[in-house]
Amino acid sequence: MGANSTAMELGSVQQDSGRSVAVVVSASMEEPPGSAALVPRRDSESTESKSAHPHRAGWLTMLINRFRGRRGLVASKTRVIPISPSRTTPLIQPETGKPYVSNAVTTARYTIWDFLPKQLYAQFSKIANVYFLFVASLQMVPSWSPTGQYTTLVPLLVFLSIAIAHEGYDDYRRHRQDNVENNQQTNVFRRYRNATNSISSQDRPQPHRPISPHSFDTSSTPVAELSITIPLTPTMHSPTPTLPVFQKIKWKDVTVGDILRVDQNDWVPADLVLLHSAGSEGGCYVETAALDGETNLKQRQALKATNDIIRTPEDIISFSGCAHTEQPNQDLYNFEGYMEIGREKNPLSINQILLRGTILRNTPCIYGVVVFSGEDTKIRQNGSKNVRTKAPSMQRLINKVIIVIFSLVIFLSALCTVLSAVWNNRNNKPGLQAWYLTARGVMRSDTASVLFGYIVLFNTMIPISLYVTMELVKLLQAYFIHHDIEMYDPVTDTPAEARTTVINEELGQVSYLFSDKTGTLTENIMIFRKFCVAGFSFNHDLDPESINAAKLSHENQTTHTSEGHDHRMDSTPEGEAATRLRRNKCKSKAGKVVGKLRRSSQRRHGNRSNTGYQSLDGKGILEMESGDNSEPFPESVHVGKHSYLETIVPCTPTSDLVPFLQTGVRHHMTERIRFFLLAMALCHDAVPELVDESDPLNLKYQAASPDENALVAGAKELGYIFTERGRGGIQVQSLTTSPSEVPKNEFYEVLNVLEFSSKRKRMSVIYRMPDRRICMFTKGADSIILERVRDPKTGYDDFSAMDSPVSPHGYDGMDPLESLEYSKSTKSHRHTADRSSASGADAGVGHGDMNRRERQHTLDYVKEDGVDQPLVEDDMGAYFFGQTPGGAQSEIWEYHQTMDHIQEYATTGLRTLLYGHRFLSEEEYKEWSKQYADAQSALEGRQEKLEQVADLLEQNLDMTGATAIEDKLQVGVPEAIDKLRRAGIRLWMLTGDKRETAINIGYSCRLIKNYSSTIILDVPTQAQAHKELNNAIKDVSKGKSQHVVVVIDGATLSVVEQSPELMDLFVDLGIRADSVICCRVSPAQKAIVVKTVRARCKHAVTLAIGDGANDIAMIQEANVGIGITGKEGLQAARSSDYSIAQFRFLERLLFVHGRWSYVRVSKFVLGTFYKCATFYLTQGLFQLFTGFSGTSLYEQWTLSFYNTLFSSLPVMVVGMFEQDLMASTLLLVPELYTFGQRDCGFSLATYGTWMAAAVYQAIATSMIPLWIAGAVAKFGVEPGDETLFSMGLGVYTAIVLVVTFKIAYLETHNWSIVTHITSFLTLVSWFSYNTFYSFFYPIPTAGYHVRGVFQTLAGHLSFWLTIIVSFMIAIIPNLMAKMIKSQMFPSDVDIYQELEKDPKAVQRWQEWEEELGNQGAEAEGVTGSKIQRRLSIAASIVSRNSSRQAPSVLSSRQGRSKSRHLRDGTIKSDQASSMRRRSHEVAERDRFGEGQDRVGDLFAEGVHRRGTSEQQRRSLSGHRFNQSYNNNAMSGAPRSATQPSFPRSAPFAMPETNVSPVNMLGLRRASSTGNPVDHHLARARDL
Amino acid sequence: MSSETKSRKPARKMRTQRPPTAWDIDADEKRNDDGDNWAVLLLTKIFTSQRPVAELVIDYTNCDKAGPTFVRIPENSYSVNFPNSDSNGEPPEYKAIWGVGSANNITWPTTKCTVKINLPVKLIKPVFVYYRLTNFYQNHRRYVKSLDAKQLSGVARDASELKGGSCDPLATVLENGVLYPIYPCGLIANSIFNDTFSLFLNPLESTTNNNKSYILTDTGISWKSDMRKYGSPGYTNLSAIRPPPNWKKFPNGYSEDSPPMDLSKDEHFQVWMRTAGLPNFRKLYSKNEQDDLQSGTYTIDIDMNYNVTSYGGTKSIVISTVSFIGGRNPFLGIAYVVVGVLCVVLGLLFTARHLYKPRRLGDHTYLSWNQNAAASNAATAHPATSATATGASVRY
Repeated sequence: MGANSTAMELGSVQQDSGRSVAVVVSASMEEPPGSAALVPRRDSESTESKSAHPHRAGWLTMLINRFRGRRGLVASKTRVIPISPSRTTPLIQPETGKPYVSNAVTTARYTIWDFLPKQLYAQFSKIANVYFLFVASLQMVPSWSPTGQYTTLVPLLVFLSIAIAHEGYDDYRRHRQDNVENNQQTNVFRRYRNATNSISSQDRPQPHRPISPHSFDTSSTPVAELSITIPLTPTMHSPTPTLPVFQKIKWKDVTVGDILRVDQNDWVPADLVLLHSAGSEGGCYVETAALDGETNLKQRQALKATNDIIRTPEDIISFSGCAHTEQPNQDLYNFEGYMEIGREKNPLSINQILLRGTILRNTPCIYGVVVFSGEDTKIRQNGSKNVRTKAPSMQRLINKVIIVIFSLVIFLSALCTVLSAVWNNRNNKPGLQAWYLTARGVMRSDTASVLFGYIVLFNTMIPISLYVTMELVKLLQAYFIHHDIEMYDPVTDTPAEARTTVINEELGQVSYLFSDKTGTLTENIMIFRKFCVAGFSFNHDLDPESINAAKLSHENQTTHTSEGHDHRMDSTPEGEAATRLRRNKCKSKAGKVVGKLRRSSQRRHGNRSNTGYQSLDGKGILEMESGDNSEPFPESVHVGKHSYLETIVPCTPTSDLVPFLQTGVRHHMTERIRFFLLAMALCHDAVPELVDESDPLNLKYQAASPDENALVAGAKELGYIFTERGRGGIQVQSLTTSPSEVPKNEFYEVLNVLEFSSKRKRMSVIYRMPDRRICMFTKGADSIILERVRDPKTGYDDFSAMDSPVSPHGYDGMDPLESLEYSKSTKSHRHTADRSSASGADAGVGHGDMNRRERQHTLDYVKEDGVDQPLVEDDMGAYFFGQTPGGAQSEIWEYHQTMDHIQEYATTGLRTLLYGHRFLSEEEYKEWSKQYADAQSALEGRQEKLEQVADLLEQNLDMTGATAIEDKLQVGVPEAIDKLRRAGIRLWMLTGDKRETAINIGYSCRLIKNYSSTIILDVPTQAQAHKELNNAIKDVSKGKSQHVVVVIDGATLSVVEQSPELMDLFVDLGIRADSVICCRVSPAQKAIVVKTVRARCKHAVTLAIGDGANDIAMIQEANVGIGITGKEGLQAARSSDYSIAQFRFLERLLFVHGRWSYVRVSKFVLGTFYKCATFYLTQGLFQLFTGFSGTSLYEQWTLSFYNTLFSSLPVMVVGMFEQDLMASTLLLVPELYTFGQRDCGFSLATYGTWMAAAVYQAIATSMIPLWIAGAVAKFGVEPGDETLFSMGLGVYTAIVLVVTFKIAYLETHNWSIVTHITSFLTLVSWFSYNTFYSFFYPIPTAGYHVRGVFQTLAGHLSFWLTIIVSFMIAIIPNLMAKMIKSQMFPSDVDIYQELEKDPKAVQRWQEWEEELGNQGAEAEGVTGSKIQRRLSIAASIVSRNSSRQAPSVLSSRQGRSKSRHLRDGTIKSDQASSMRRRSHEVAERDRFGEGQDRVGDLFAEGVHRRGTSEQQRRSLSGHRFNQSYNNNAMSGAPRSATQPSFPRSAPFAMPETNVSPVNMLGLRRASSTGNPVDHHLARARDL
Repeated sequence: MSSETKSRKPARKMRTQRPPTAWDIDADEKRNDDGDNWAVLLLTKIFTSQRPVAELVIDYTNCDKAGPTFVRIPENSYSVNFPNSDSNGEPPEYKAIWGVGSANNITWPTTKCTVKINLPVKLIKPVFVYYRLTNFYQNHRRYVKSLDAKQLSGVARDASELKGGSCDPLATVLENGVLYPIYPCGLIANSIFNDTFSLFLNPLESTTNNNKSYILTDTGISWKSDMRKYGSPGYTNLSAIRPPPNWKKFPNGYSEDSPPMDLSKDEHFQVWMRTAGLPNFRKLYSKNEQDDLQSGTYTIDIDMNYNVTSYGGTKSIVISTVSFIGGRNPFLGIAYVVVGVLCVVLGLLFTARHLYKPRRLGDHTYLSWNQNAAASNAATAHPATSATATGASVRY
């Protein structure tokens, strides 16, 4: 490739003055003003090009040939992009021989040329349209049509053009959007030479891009701005002939090989290889939200080689290199290639790639060379190629039905034609001839005319207006969705929006839900929640306000501290009073917490007493002492709205801790905590950003991951403020150690950063501390850090037996939590023994000794500030931290405590990280850094080597502490997921996040239950994958587990997706499992997963929900795509079908609107088919009396108006307003949702029943009047008139009555005023139409004698009697059938419809709602008005009903759960069996308790009683987190008895035997009052 | 009969406590009961209302075979119904004599049929005489539109206009290479009923009606609206048009001597053109709205021209009175009886069922997921295999 890249031409120079001048020239691209000053320089590698402008084509072929010659070498595995700024022709893609694809991107589906053909194709792929076209053409033949000639064609054309115009408008909008994107501007590198050297004006330079000639029309390219930077320094050596400039061009004109400059906050226009970044050390930050949905910044790093060479534009001129890259693909997370500079090959990885769709942040500007453009870019590769036009699955069924009807029409026509022929024969025999039908004795035989006549006659059995009226109906449904106040998010001011109306009913049939995580389930806000140092857990819950409050109260507190201390020691009456007062406070304020804790086991209290609660005492007193004038801490700190963990693990809030640390109290714990906080402030590679210039501490951090951000921010909130990242180090302002101290900034020199990678799962930073010592801080996943923690004998042994919640070793078939619990309980046994042998609180000293030195080491450092003072621990510290005299605790206790805490954090869905540190000696570090430098300069396998070297150092760490970060769930997500599960919807979470994160979120949003079996698929090869999948499927099929969750990551998925067979297996497994979590998946993979599931379960409706651009592919792939109109912009929402503001609205969208839409559309479609069938079958029946000649019973206009005027209203009202069940019922009983999944609303079977009704009613409505009119009688009767028209009139009237009644009253549940009005209107319009007709019908007509008929008939009673009796005969059997069905074989809907009318049930319901309201008002984010509304609905029902008895369902349920237990009893190990049983219990509770139990509660009195008390207890906790915890962990009271959930190991517990009388008293008191705080207070006093 | 009081009986307590506005089984039951009562009420009315209608239908298709003396009409060829009378009178008889039909100075052989009827009671005015045809498909698709509305309304349509129009194949005649339009064209006009009934009923005995003939009129038998459809022939050159081939009155076509009839005045034609919707139909021939028809024996003369046997049909003469709900219509009554019985039976069945084995409303055991759960518990062997796309309910 040398020829391309090295053909640099150095010509004469335009010498400029030695200063930089920026010239901005306005110029059209066509004719750059360069003709005066500057002209684009065209020089290229081949001299021919210069002269051979007109012969470019020939030149191109040559070039193509040249490339072709090399094709073998290129082998299309890599793409070779010579970086040569002098090139003027576009690069040629060797595979195609054409230039690389344009960077213009089209999301539009049609061009102006293919729009019509494609649309016609699309329209006529609707089978009904083909049918109508067929009928319309038949009808055009006058002698064939018994009806009008254009009655089909005209409406068909109208409806088609509406549909096409609509589609056209949509596409036009897409085109406009594309244009906006394609016409954005970017800066491309160009060389210009001085005009003095310029070529003649005839030979004026052509812009060098032939591929998009249109853009060079003067019209289309108005003015281009040239912003030219004239080099600052004159080039010293040889003067350059050219002027390097960055010229603004449109995105669509960018081609592969162009060198671009991207400025801060600009979008990257194509996939670039980063050449140079103006950021530090060639780094830059990009925001990739549009690609993977993660809003955090990602760091990209220019190659050192290029970054150093290219610094200014003129460097680019002299730069020559060649990028060898992979071919375009979808992988967002990997990139392979190398940059050839001279002889040197520099590896390129994803770190050097800026993808289109990312935004440059925090970096002034970068230079990059385009490697993939347009459709080749990864974002486009990830987009779905052919956006399929979504059609509801009901459409398929409708098509089927249409085929059925069509066959019926053909069959009927054929039958009638045959019969007509038979009749003709019979009546054309010599001697038995219907002479009146013949002209001169010859009977015409016209089979074709009869056949087609019949087809035309029956054609409207498929109503032509079906699609249009359906569109109308769905439009209204969409309107309801849009205007549902309960799906309106007041915070973001967004209502739900239906962007398409086509697939409303799909919302009611969803079986699979594919959800994005970030921004959809979570709010994408990471909050530092908890940390654990030395076995003590601290709860961090500081809003900025409460921090300020803490600061304010700080002085007050400190002055009183010692006093408080005294009080406590002396146990003065005041102290007593204070305690009492505090207790009362606890009762009132923390009442909710207490209520919950009461149910916890005593054992737990015992444990806790030594850790968390103690501090409550201290705090209580501190607070008391701080004076009554101000309440230093807002209440929310204690029972605050975010502190749900408090209720589980009472632990010190940091709002207490920080002030305490600042008091100068000396305690080894304070030092440990300080050091840990320092570690948090140090161990990261975030960048601070000053938000407010005036306040140097008002910082915002930009970090590679949001957790890191949360951690640094957390450190800041806790007083260790990372203020600046400078050259070589960072500044941290630390927390003062005493009240008088002024906070000071310290500089920590960064020696090395060992970066995070998904493989390493940890990062380390080596610092030279201000005291010149070297310390390495490491943070990472707990499993990883634990392996590296010093002294594994004491610590790691235990942990190795214990599964972390995430097993890293592939599929192990075990329930991680179960095994966890098992190991834990054994462990705690052991420790209990330990403790008792080591006699109480002094246990573990032996262990402690050996660790002492190390810790002392740490502490020595930490107290450096207070130089000479040895660490004298004062009582205050002991008081604050409880019974933790330094050194008295064993390190092993610390480990276990820490692990327990971590476990606890993880199970509640918090993300945990462990921090470790290690002090390095000078020599140690030197030696290591040498190795590290070697590894860094390694060419081959650099990454591995670096990792190895890093691993050398990251050993033997001290455990600094653990952190827990909450990935904040969106409001109501767990509840919504629960309900979705109950509704039979399988949830698949597809996220770009890490596996650990995903699983954590899985726990917190109850996708994974505590009793779930988690199957983790992590396999590198297909063979293994095959085995694992088969195993897993086998296991799942056995049904051993109650709840199975499959976890797979993107890498494994890409292995799996390579083989269709494996993919099938995987989807099979996924379908059998209850939930599936796919992590680290790319947008394309998301789409593939959705697609495969969709293909695998053809009849299941899939729904994808997401908020980011990375979800678009998935959203478009799924049957229903839902966009969250969140903070990440509207891309997803825009390409979605429906958009909602919050995940929880999905509940209402699916259960209520989806269900209703489904029911409505079903009934609408059925009703439409039914009404047409009934009507046209009468025509068929009438043929019995016409010699099968095909005479229409009805006058042709009356006939045509049937569908529009006389039958459409009721059916449309059903389609618009039907509610088979009330919204509140549907929300309460998600199980009802299976109605749609099972196609109960509309299937061939239901269609069959409707058709049966249609056939019967057609017979009844036509035969009865005709029979009465004497059709079969020998002697006949005398109706008022016996012409064709009056026959038809009677039948028609009967049909209108029957159809209206059946649709509006028999099949509609929700009889609203609209129903009555429309039914009435239909009848009125029918009769007034006839009245009008009878007076104004034109006189000279054949066949139908209309004039005056109706008024005559209306005067005959027999006319009315006939209609009434035929109506009754038609409708009564239908009525009966419905009665029998609902009486003897009631469906779920029938039962709930009955229940909705049961006042007692409604009353219980009301109570339940009330409880739900108390308990979950915040949880659901529902407002009081909502509850109020539901209540009023309920009340309105009550008022309408008197009392009725309701049955109980309890017995059957109990029976079931019993049998389950029996089955479970076979498990061998006692332990395991009890575990399992417990899990089953929970599962049962969860399933029936949350599911049928509720239902039972509602309607069965006995059950309800229990439910109520429990609900009431539950309702004590007002907060949503409480709620979420409740429903999750304590959904059973059974659980609390044995409490396996968070087994705090017992070592520190006071074994009952050792409890002193006072303690006993305390315990007793605790148990008697049920208030654990009392207990601790008592203990505190005793001490 | 109040269903309100009835439904408050304890046995039906449950049913009445339902809101009336929603679909509900019991409301329907109630409705049915109402239906019963209402139907019964109506039935009696209809039955009683049937009584005043006297009707006499005599199939004279085979009259020509009767011979010159009166013979009894076969049982299955007539039907008589006289209200307020125990007897149906003597059975009708008919006889046929050969004669000639004549019109426009032309004669042709015909059969004169004389029907003798005996009326045991007086028929209350108005009295209508109909002819009734069976198995005649006036509603045949080819037949029903076979007319030219413009020509009928008096517009002179020439052959080229009619050719290929709705009158085909009876629009034109080709004579000597010249196309002549048929007036009136089309199958309907061609097949007009051309039997003639005498416009009076002759008393056979002197006692009958004081030996006074009962005069009938054939004016005013057509619908007013129909009259307006027809006009006098617009053709001035009568030799340029041809009568329909079946019209016996014009064996030599139209001429000044035998001009085409004025359609606007020919009410029989108008009645005929008002095509019937069913193959069995009756059309009004004549009527008397002034006088009651006194009891006694009458004869009526019929010129038999119309060929019904060739297509297997029959022709009858009908003499009838009307009641307030129209003509005599036994079928309506039958329909109501059927409906009434149906309602009663079903109502009884449901009541029985309810008493025997009532289903508690809102019984949870009927819920599909409860039943599924029970089912899947019974068959735990393959719980997961059934977990298909139908949702989790299958498994639980």
